[in-house]
Amino acid sequence: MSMFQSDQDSSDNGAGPSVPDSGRAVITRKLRELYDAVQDEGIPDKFLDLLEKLDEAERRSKASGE
Amino acid sequence: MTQDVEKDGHNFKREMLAALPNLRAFAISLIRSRDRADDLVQDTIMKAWAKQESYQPGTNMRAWLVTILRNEFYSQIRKSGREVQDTDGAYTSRLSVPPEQHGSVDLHDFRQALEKLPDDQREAILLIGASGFAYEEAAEICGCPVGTIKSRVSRARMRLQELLGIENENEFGPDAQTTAVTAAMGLR
Repeated sequence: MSMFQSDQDSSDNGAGPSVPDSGRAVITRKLRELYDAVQDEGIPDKFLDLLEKLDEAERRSKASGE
Repeated sequence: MTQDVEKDGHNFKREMLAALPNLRAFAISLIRSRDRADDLVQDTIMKAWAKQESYQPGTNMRAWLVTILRNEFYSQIRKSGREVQDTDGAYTSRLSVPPEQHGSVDLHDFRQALEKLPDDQREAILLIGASGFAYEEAAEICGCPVGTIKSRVSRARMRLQELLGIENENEFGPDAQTTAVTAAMGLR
């Protein structure tokens, strides 16, 4: 289950003639490694807590508004 | 009715959670400081939550969040009136990267090369090459023509290849070296 479209790179041949494909492939691979390294960390707790609080606050205000 | 609203709210939160790791990867790759990137992600979550009415359920949550994050990023730069620089190299040193196979580009080197790109080029290549957006989506996110995105990506790729010393058709390794040597000898 990848977020990436694997054919993304081949679909942009019109972008520029001067970059050869394999160099492009190296860069694409590195970009994905960079993302993977962050994504593998998962979502930091502070963001989960924040969303939880926002959700909670909204539910409370909805409840009191009715 | 209340049921529906509540259900929408839960879907919104769930969609947002699903999009967060990728959004954070974008932020951390775009900005040199991880702390700043996380602050920005936090601002984005709050902004997005506040304007969730304007999100159309089932549309592209990732694109929507990236647009908010990006706007926030540039508005912070404008406000502070300075370029965002990581002068102490905190960004590059924070993530320790295990040594890779011989003959491949080290992720640390790649990160440093990426930092040398102008913001607009780095942003474009991240959106296309890593976030996996289509050119049209990236153009919409950045509020510029598709052709502009294409040329930024193209320039970013060329510059990265230059910085990383990636030569022509071959990736590194013996073949590329041999080719380079042969080519050099041929010139004499």
